[in-house]
Amino acid sequence: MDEKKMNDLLIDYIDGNLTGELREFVTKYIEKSPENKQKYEELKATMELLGHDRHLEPDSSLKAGFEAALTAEIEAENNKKVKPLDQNGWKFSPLKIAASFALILSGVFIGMWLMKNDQNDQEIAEIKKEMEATKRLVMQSLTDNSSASRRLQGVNASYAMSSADDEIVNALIRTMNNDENTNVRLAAVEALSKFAEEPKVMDALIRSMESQTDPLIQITLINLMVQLKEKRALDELKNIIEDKKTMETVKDEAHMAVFKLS
Amino acid sequence: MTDEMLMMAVKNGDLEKASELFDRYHKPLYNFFVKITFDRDLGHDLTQNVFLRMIKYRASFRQDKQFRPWIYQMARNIYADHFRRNKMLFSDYAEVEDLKNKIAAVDEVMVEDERQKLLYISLFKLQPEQREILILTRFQQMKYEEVAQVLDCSVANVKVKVHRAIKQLREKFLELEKI
Repeated sequence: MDEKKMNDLLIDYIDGNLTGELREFVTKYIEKSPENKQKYEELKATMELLGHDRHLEPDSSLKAGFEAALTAEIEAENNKKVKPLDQNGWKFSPLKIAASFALILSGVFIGMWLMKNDQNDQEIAEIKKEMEATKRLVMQSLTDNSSASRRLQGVNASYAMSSADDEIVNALIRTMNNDENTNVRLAAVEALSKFAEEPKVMDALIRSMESQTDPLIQITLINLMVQLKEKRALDELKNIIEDKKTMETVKDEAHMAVFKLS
Repeated sequence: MTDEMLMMAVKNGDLEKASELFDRYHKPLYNFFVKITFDRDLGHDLTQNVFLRMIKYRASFRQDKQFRPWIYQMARNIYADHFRRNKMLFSDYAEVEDLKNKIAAVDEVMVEDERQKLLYISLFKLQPEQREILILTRFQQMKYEEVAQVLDCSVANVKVKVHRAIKQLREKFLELEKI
């Protein structure tokens, strides 16, 4: 039985969830060797410690605050309900005539406003068109195998994108991992760091740390992890430290990063 | 009335039923937040936010959903939003000073005895994700199936996470015992 399953069973055993043969099986496992016994004792002590959790009581202002918010919401909800029409029917009165004019006028204004909105729509469409053009430029440049400077241009053009576009992000990740030119890869790392809040981008950056062979890029990535306080990078950093092929300078940076992150 | 029936009533306009749900859930949620953030004031505010959001987004509750995982998912989102806004994605004790303050806070407001202190300091030294899984499964006694719904992963995955977290806790706890 593998270790994971055994751990599963040990936890269930300590929780008292096992019966019959399975329980006996675990008892035998524990008594089989001093190591097993120690593992069990440590696990038991940890789980016993978890039993010391104390229930904290919030103060009463939590409930009072909630009740006030709820009452406000109920009132707002009631106000939304439509009131019945006036039973007396329509009678001409100066007020009502004024109201009719106001209604007509507001109609005119709404019309004008809608026309203006149409203009806004056109502007939005143009911005969209521009974005599409930038995207095309980035994509074409990034896949231009003949010229590194063109690919570099492509990476730089991606800075114009204000939000992470899936296609561009994927292309940048591919460039970071596979481009033959160090400068292009480095530029891709820097461009991607702008979208590091996206989990997908962060995962790619972390994974890339190990696959990169150029020390300059490795160091850039390591420093980036420290800057972003990205603790998930710890495992990869440890792999870099343990890898015999890693350059000493890179190892030093990785050691420093592990120290800062943990 | 089950939680789900109450929430369906709230969804259908009987807002007063939200009070009952508040009574049932505000303490566990408060404990969830305080033990992740180690900050009672923040825990208070985040708990309040969960219920405000529950009312605001009541229409998004679906009859086939269980209430508890639904509200905890909301709680997680609120927690994540809070730290994203504060540029501390899945918060952590970045500064030594902060660590000291938090441990002092643990001392002052959360601890009754030495074992408890050991527990909370060990817990505090874990990754927030690991703290979270222990809070849900061990302190709040949620079933693995429910936790899987909250974290949007498989039950097997929850089990692995629980092991890892307990293992880590054991290490932190042994380190502390040595001191």
